[in-house]
Amino acid sequence: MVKYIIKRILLMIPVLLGVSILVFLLQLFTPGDPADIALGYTASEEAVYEWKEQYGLNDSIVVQYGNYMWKLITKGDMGISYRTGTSINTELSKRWPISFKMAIIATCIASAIGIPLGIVSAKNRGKFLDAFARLFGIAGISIPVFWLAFLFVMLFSIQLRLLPVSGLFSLKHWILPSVTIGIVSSASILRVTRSSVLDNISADYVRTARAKGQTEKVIMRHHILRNSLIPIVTSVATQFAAAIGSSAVVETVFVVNGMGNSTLSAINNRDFALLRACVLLIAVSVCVINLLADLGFALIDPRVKSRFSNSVKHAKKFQLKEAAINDGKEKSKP
Amino acid sequence: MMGKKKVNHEAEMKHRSMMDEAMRRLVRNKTAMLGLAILIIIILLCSFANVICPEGYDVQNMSARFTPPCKEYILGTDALGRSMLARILYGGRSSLMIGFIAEFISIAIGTVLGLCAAFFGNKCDNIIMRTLDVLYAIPGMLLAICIGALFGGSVRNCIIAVSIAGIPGIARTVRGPALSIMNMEYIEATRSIDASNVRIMFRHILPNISSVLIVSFTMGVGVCILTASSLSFLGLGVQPPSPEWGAMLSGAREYMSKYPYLITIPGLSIATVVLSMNLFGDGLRDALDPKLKY
Amino acid sequence: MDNTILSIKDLTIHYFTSDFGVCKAVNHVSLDLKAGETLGIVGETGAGKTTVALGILGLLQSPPGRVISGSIEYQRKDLLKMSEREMQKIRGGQISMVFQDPMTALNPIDRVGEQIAEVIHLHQHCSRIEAIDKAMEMLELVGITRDRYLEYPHQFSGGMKQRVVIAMALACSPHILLADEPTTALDVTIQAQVLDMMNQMKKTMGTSVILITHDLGVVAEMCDKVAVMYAGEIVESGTAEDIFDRTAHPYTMGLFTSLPGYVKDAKRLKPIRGLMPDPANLPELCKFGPRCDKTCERCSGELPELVEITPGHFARCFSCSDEKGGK
Repeated sequence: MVKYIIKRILLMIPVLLGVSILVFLLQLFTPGDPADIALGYTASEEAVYEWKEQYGLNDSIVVQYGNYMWKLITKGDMGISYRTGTSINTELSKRWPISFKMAIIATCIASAIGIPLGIVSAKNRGKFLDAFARLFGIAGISIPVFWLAFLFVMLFSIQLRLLPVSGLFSLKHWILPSVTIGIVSSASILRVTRSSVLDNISADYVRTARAKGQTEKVIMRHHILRNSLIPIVTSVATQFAAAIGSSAVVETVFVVNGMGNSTLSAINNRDFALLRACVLLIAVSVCVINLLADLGFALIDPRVKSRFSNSVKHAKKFQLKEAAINDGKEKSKP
Repeated sequence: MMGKKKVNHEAEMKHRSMMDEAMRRLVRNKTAMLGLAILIIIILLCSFANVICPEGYDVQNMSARFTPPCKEYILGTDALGRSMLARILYGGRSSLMIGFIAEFISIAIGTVLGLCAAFFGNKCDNIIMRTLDVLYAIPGMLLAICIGALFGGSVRNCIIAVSIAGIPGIARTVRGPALSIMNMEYIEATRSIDASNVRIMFRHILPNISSVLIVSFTMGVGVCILTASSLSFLGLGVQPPSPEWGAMLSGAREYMSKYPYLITIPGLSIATVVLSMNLFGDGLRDALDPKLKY
Repeated sequence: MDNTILSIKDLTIHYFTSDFGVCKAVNHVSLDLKAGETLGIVGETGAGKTTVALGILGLLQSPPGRVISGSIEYQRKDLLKMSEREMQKIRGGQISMVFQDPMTALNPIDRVGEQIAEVIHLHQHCSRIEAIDKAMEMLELVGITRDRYLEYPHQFSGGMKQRVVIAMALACSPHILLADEPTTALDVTIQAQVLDMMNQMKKTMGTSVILITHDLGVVAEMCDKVAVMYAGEIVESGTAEDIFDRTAHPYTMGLFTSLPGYVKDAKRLKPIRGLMPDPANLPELCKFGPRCDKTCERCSGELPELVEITPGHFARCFSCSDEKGGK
C-alpha cells in the first residue's frame, strides 16, 4: 500500500513539471508584452529595459524557467507580480484557500445530491423516480453554470431577498456560489452513479449472491454498491477539477476574490508571473485530489492494490491474528 | 490472405446488421427523437436567420430599448434596442458552428493520438499519455481560458481553445477500446508486418470504436458550446458586436433585477441546444449499446 | 417408497421482451428428481435448460421472464408459490446452483474465503469463526489450500474459480445441486478434474444433482437419468442407458450422429440440418419437424405428446410410438 502511494506521488512530479513548462511556453508564444501593460505604451526604451531587468525578463526563456523553478522548489517563492510588483505568495495565500474551499464544498454538495439520487434511480429503473432523476441529470449537464448562478441570484437574492448577491463576508455568502456549482456537478455524478450501479445490478456475481440466498438489502449494500464505487470516485475527482476550473466564471458572477478572479486579471494584464502561479496551484490541487482518488481505488479494489503490495505478507498477518482467536485450534500453514 | 478477406467481409456484414438494429432502437426512443427534432428546428431557424430577421442583429432602435417580449418583438429588445430574436438566431449560428467544429477537431486529433498510443505501444504510448496527463491536470475550462484569452478573443481562437481542451478526454476514451482490440488482432500482426496491414488495422479498429466516437461527439458538442459561451461570457471569446449567447448574458447582468428576460432568454437558448444534443446523444448511446435493456 | 425430492410439473416460462416479442423459453416441462440421483438435462444452446434451473430457484429476471403455469414441488411445497423470504432460506441452504461462467461468478472485491463464509453464515447458525473454519474446510475439500482463504478471485485461474463456486454451492450440504454447464468454460483436463470432484462430493454428501450440459460425454460419465430438451420442451427422457443404447427421438439420434467418431475415418461431420426455431416464433406442431428426416403423415396433422416407450423411457415422437423401441 505504501509503495502504491509513493509511486503515485512520484508520478505527480513529471506532470507538474510539464504544467510549469506549458505555462512558460504560453508566455513564449503569446503576443503582447507585459511591459506595455505595466508601464504603458509610451514608456521609453530604457524604462522598459530596466523594468524587464527587475523581473528577469531580459534573460532567455530557459534561464527564466530555471530561475523560477529553482526559487519555487527551494524557497516556495512564486515570484513577484508583473502588474503590482507585490509578492505573489502573499496575494495568493489569501485567495487560494477560498477557491479551494469552495470547490471542496461544491463537490461535497454535488456528491451528497448526485450519489444517493443515482442509486435510487438505478434501483427504481423505469419508474417515476428514475425518470425524474434522469431528467435532472441531463438538464444539469446542459445548463451553463453562470446562467444558473444568475437565475439563483434573481430568485433568492432579488425576489426573495433571502441570500446576499455577492461577496464572501459571511457564511450566508458561501451558500449560493457553492450550491450553484454543486447542483451542476451533481448531475454528472448522478449519471455516472446510475450507470455504474446499473452495470453491477445485472452482473453475474450478483446472481451468485442471490443463489446463495442473500437478502436484497445486503446484496445492494455489500456487493453492488461497493463494486460501483470506482467510476463514482473518478467522477467526483473530475467534478472537483471542473469546480475549480469554473471558478473563474463563478467568481466573476458572485464577485468573489479567489483564484479564478486573479487568473482572469493575470490574463488580461499579461501578468505571466501571477498566471504561472495560479495555474500551478490549480494543477497541484487537481493532482492532489486525483491522488486521493487513486488511494480510494486502492482501498476499494484489491486488484489495484495487489499490483503494488505483497498480499502474502498480509495473509500471514491475518493468520497470526486468527491464531490468537482460535487458541487451541491448529494453526494454518505459514 | 483470402481467409482474412472473408473474415473482414463477415465482420462488415455483422457490423451493418448491428447498425440497422441500433437505428431501429434509436428511432423508437421518444426522448432521443424529441432531442433530435429540437436540434433540427434550432439549426434550421439559425440557418435561416437572415430570412426570419432580414434586418440583421445590429440594428439599434433606441426608442424601443428594453421592450419585453411582445407582438412586435417576439423576444423583446435589449439595452440598445436591438431585436433579441435576431441576436439569438445569429448568435446561435456562431455557437453551433463553434461547437460542432471544435468538437470535430477534438475528435479528429484525439482519435489519431489515442490510436497511435494504442497501436505503436510502449514508448509512443508513454509520451502521448504523459503529455495528455499534463493537459488533463489543468481543468478544461481554465485551459480554454488561457489559450483563448492569451491569443486574443476571436471565433478562430475560441474554436482552437475549446478543441484543445477536449483532446485529452477523447484520446483516453479511444485508447482503451483500441488497446483491447489491438490485443486481439495483434497476433495476426506479428505474423506479417507490412504497411497494408497497418491500414487493415485501422479498418478493423475504427469501426469498433465508431460507436464510442459517435456518442462522444454528440455529447462533446454540448460541452464545447457550454465552454465557448463561458469564454464569451468572460469577454474572451467571440467579440462584440457579434452576438453570442454567453456575451449577451454578460451584458444583461446589470439589468438583472429590472429586465429578467434579458437573462432568461439567452441562457434558455444555450440550455435548449445543449439539452437537445444530450438527449439525442443519450439515445444514441442506449441504441448502440449491445447490452439490451428491457 | 417414493423418494422423489423435486417434482416439476407442466412448467411454462415465457420472456416478454419489447424487441423480439414473446420468447417461449420453456413449454410444459415435467421432470422428477429422486434423492441421490443425478439428472442430466441435455440440449443445444437456447433450448431452455438454464431457464428451467433459474425457474426452480426463482432467479428469473422478472421483467422479461415470467412463469406462466406449472408447479415445482419440493418437500411437499410449491416453490413457485413461496414468498421471497422463504425462497432465500432455500437458496444456498437446501437447493444451490453453480453457474456456467466462473470468471464473472465471484465478487471481484471480496476475499474468496469470505464469499464461502457468507453462504455458511446465512444458513447455519454459527459464529463467525466457525463459519471461517468451515469455509477453509470446503476450500480443502475442493482441492484448494486453506491459506488461500484470504485471496481475491483475480488471483485464481478459471478452473480454481469454478471450484470455489462449487465449494460455495455445497458448503451448507444442500439436498439439491443445480449445475448449469459447470465445466463448459474450462479446458478439457480441468473439466475432468472438476467433474471427478463433483462426483466424489456427491457421493459423500448424498446430494441430488441436476446437471445441465450440452456435452454428451459429460452425461455419460455423470448422469443416472437424462432428459433431452429441444425448443423448450422435453423430447426424450429416461435412464442414461435408455438414451445412449436405445435412442428413440430423431433429435437425440441426430445429436449422437453429429459427434465426431474416434474409430472411423470421416471426411465430413454430420450435423443436424437447419437451425433451432426462434423461441418467439415456434412451429405449431412438432418443434423438431422442420429438421427431421423421419417425418410421417401424422407429423403434419397432430402435435406429438410424450409417450412411454419402455417403462421409464419417454419420447415425444410418432416414429417411436409406432416402432416401439427406436434404434
